[in-house]
Amino acid sequence: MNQRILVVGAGIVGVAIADRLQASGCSVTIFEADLPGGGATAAAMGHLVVLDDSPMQMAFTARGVALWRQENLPKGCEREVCGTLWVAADEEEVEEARRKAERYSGLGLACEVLTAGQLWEAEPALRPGLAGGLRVAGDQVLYPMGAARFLLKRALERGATLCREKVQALVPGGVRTEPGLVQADAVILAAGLGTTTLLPELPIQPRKGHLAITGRVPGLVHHQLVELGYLKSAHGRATTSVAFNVQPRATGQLLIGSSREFAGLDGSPNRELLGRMLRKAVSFLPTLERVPVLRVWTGFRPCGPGNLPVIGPWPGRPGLFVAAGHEGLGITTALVTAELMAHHLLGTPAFLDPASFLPEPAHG
Amino acid sequence: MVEHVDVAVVGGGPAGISAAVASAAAGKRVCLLDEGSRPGGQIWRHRLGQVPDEAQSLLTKLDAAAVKVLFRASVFDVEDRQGSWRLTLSQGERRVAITAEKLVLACGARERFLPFPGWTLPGVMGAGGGQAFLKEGLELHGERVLVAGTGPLLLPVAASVGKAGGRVLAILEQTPWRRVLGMLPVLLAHPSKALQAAQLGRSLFGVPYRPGWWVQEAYGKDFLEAVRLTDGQREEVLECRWLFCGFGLVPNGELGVALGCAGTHAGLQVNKAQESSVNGIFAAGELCGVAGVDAALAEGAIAGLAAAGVWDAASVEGHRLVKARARARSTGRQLERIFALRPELRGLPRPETIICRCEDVPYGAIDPSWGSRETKLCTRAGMGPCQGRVCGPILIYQFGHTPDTVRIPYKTTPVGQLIAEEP
Ligand SMILES: Cc1cc2nc3c(=O)[nH]c(=O)nc-3n(C[C@H](O)[C@H](O)[C@H](O)COP(=O)(O)OP(=O)(O)OC[C@H]3O[C@@H](n4cnc5c(N)ncnc54)[C@H](O)[C@@H]3O)c2cc1C
Ligand SMILES: Cc1cc2nc3c(=O)[nH]c(=O)nc-3n(C[C@H](O)[C@H](O)[C@H](O)COP(=O)(O)OP(=O)(O)OC[C@H]3O[C@@H](n4cnc5c(N)ncnc54)[C@H](O)[C@@H]3O)c2cc1C
Repeated sequence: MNQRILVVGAGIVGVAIADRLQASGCSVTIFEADLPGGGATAAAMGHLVVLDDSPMQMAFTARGVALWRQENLPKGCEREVCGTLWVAADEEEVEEARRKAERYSGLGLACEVLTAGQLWEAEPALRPGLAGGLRVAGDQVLYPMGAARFLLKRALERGATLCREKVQALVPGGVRTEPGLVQADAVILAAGLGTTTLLPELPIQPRKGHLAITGRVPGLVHHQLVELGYLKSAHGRATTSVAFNVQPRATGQLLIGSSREFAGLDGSPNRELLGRMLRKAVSFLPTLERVPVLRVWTGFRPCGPGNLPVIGPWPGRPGLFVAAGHEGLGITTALVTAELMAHHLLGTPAFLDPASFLPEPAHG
Repeated sequence: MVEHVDVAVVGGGPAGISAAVASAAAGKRVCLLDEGSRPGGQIWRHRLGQVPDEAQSLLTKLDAAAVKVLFRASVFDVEDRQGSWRLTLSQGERRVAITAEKLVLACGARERFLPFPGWTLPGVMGAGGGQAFLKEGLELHGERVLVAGTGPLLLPVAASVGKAGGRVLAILEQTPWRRVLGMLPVLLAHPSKALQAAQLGRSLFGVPYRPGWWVQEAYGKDFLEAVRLTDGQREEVLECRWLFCGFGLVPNGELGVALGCAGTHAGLQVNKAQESSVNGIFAAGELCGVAGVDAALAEGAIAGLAAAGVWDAASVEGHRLVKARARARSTGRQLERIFALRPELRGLPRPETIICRCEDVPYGAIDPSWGSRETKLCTRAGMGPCQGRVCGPILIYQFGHTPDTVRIPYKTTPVGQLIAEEP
């Protein structure tokens, strides 16, 4: 016990891990080169969502959402349990909604398939003529920066240390920073896009996304709305895509997403893609057309080599652990990532098969 | 359909009009864009039919020139299209796109607000905003009005209050007497300004002018009732219905900064031909630093000529403009020194005093050790509809923050208008 642990990166993943390990009696120091939470975390939508791409992704996100539900979050986290409403445009998508409902129910998640009429009742602002939908009641939204700060603050109150220094390199048994070497029992690399610089064997690519925030239109939308077509678009890895994804904020604003593209680290908006994204949103929510947009920004999802993030010991480097590549689900899965990491370091129970998240060479 | 012009001028104040007229006179196709409903900008905003004399000749030239003028037009996006600029603007229900070979930015300046307890009460107004209201016809019916803040602008504001039937209790000027006296040489060097000052002085006869005094707190339940003032030693409470408060101006540099032009929140950098660090983008007037209408007129003309490719500093007209600009800028710098904000004003807000009006963020919510991005992301300061146009300069003044990044849309724009036409 009382292991000395260094966490590199104070994004949502790093602070969740630091908080979890510090609570279990480790002595944690977090290194952050910039602003805690200021990376992908600050740009994210904060939808805590169960996705069912694969059985493991589903178990992973479901556990993630469940752990967030157990947290008593302060007001600054702007958490709302608004649920997700998957919108079906046609009969084919209603079929998909039914299959999805079976999978969600199978995991014990509350959900219901909606007819076209029920959909309209639940979200009157949606365009007429949609075929139905699926409501997943337990999904939530929060303000990622607020949540990251909450976890960081709690970790620090539990005795962790925040060191606002960039880690220049990983060295055996520790890290090198500008002021010097720091040694520890374990180093956890949770540096998001910064991971690859420190560990070139693990390529994490920036997958750019656009978001637009509107003025206040309270009551226009009640659930996080996502088109069932989202599943098709989020998955073609190489392609550029947009999907209808609109989130009601606690402030009464709407956050409009989403887009995915590999475009390097150029953060300037891609007008063509932004236009497609907004057109898609208006096609589902016609009244959106007149709602004012205050700001548009972009962020970079840290996209790893596989469909799941890499979580666990790095092969051939004793004392080095990695938690990176959460792509578009890092907010949802920060707490379950911390749980898996605690399993590796402390032997505490993992509710999922940890092997699924190990780096390729280890479980290949 | 996208219209193509040689020169697009953003901002229809003295600088923008002067630039548009100059470019058009050089034979260029020019488009002038302004958010307001009439030309004239901050200074020449006027009631229909009451055009100020000094503006008349320029406005006549604008009417005569081949300039396409678009009012109520908010430019919310500008793209670099390799060699030309594509502007997208919202005009009421319409989305309009214009491409231009050259861009002249003349977006002017906005009022600076400083927070003190009670500054958000109804009845407390920015001096410029208040003056605009008065020019639009607000009547004061003998109500008690206090004018406070800093700078020469306070005098015409007080005069407008008098004209609108208000009773000006006093003009509080935060700069001490000995610095106000520094105005004398400025006035002597500019007989026209001296004359203006004399006329203003006459219309303000009997109104106490109190340098070295400032407002500490405004009181009232639902509306302003009284104001507590101080000179650092003494305090007084004055009952009043309106407080017009002006702390100078802040350049509207956002568009330029977003386009990559070098400069700071105090103004964009330009060369002798008013060209910014970005090729093809010119800037004129207050957004290069606050210096008043004379600088705006000269710089606008230079920028317009330069954008048209016919600027010649060695010509007779060139000489005149360069001289006028130098004179106006030097006066601007003197005034800036004379009316520099005193440090005591920084100490006015209390923890519960609102700093960001859009998002209701109180002063006490901001940790002084935070930088600007941290402050915004942690408190929402600057995230509202005005996108930090009001609280940004406050945070810069109170905490030494750097200005926030500027993102599209540069003006709040409906979703439908952000959507480009189908490719
Ligand atoms: C547009 C968009 C929308 C999204 N929406 C959602 C959503 O709705 N739900 C969801 O679950 N997820 C969403 N995501 C994904 C989510 O944002 C990420 O998966 C998550 O934030 C990743 O967290 P992280 O801690 O790994 O990375 P980051 O938040 O990027 O944190 C990494 C940190 O490490 C620091 N760092 C890097 N290198 C070093 C170094 N050498 N030394 C010290 N510090 C270093 C960085 O400064 C940074 O603070 C979205 C992402 C985007 C871009
Ligand atoms: C849930 C949620 C709700 C939000 N609500 C609001 C809201 O109501 N109002 C609001 O204003 N914001 C809101 N935001 C957005 C927030 O203020 C930040 O804007 C967002 O986190 C991303 O920052 P940014 O890139 O816009 O600006 P910054 O965080 O300042 O910029 C990030 C980086 O991008 C670079 N950059 C900035 N502009 C460009 C550009 N044009 N080209 C290339 N690089 C650039 C900067 O240099 C900087 O390094 C919200 C964010 C979230 C996650």
